Amino acid sequence: MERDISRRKFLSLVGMLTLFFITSISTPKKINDEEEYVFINGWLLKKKDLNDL
Amino acid sequence: MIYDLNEIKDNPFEEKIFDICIIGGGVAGITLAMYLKTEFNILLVEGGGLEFSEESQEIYKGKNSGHEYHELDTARARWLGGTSNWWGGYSAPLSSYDFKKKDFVKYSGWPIDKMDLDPYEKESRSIVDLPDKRQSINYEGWSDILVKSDEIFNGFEFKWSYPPTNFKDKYKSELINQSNITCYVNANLTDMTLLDDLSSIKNIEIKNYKGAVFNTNAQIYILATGGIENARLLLNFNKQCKNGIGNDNGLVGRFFSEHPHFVIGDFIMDDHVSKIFSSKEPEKDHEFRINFLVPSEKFQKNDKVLNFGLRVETNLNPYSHRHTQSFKEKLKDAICSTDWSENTINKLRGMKMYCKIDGKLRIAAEQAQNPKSRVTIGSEVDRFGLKRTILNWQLQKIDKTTFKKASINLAKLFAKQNLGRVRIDDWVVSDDTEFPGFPQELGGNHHMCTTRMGASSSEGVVDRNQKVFGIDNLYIAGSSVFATTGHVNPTFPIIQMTLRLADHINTRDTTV
Repeated sequence: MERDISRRKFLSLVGMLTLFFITSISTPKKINDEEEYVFINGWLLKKKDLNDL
Repeated sequence: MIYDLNEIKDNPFEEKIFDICIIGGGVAGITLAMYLKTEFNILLVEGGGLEFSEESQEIYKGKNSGHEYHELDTARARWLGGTSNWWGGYSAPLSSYDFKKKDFVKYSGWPIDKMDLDPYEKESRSIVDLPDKRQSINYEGWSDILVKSDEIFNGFEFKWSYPPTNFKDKYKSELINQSNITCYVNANLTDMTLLDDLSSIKNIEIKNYKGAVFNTNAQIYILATGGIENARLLLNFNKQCKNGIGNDNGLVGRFFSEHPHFVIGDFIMDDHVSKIFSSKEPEKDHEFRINFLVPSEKFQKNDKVLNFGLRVETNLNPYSHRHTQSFKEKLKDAICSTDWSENTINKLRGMKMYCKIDGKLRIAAEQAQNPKSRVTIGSEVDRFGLKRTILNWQLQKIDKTTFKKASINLAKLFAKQNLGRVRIDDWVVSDDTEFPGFPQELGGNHHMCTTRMGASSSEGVVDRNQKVFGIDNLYIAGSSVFATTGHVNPTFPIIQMTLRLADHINTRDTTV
């Protein structure tokens, strides 16, 4: 049981690091100079969405 | 009466001259037989039998030399009724803008317009048994949210019959009982002979599957064998014209078009939209969890895009647990869903992780006219000695630009109206002209434009009345005469155009 919890914590940490890594290396692209949108990993996001990630 | 040519020994056509000979017993051919005036003595010949047979279907075998495509002998049905034996029934007319010349699309424009076909819409609806009641492929509510007051997309509705109308089943008794119609099945057109001055078809050669050869004469011939086969046959009939019949300008077989079908991305929904889908059961036969969008004419003009049908298909329903996740949680999940990240995480975890989405975006679009996209004939021959098809299907930059602009504008709409967020597949937004192959859907088995209609013989194979330029008594029916494709399934416009053709022949002097 204790081992499972440690494993979960480890995987969660790995997941967060991976997410951080991906979002930090992805270069947001402007679309038609419209400042409010960015492309990240194929997703068209509002810039303010980045605050929620 | 319907006869089986395999069972005929003595030449049944000897010393007979039919008024009209229709070659091909599919949607166009049967519609013609039904709507040509009963004073005409009509011969209808169908290469297949009353049911599927391998010996007939394999005539369609050929090679694909262009973009990856379906095996050609699986693309259309070769027996009485044609592809109405397995079509989906979705019906809609072409839009008026589909017929217009567009300065940003080379070879666009028809010599007729929508108003020429409108008088035949009501009868066409009756032929394919479309119900009077409103049918909607759009999920009610979702449609209103998505396209309300939008200048880029319009809602769109197909109509359909269920089960889809099968022309053999619907008209078999008329073919048997109508005294002016003689129908032969297992009767394959294998040659056409022109008069010495090459102005008209003198007679045609028909073979059964037992090796017997028959010749028959008619005042007027109508080729209605399908979007690929019409071109293949004309190219094969080259004993008097080295490039084939009707091909003085080298246009027969060119401009082969499909409706490219691709998945172009996926999406997640915002909380307020998820609630709609997760709280309401879909009503069978009435609504689907699909929203069907088409581009406004203004968008097509301003952004120089082709026509398309964009399907926004959600997988949310009351039985999925997906709706328990908030939009922000879904967004966090979704943003990590690159192949690389998924693979990495999956390896680390030693298990499969699915980055979840709420639905997919699919497009079925008009294809820009392209003379390099074409049907030619190769060296291999079928059992009748006719050269088999080589299909070189080619897409162009504007086809891809259309997908790209459609998906980006839909993604903006989702974000702007807080409906959710859209992910667009990498290949769609890349600047090259590459398109994916299988397992994408690729096309709808809609074969069009290979004997296209033109204002002159330099622009098309047939004129505005579907008569082959330079041949007085040869007409072509079916989607091979489309000048452009629009985005709708071709069957309904085929029927409208065929009724118009029947009207034209009913009023012309049949003496050649």
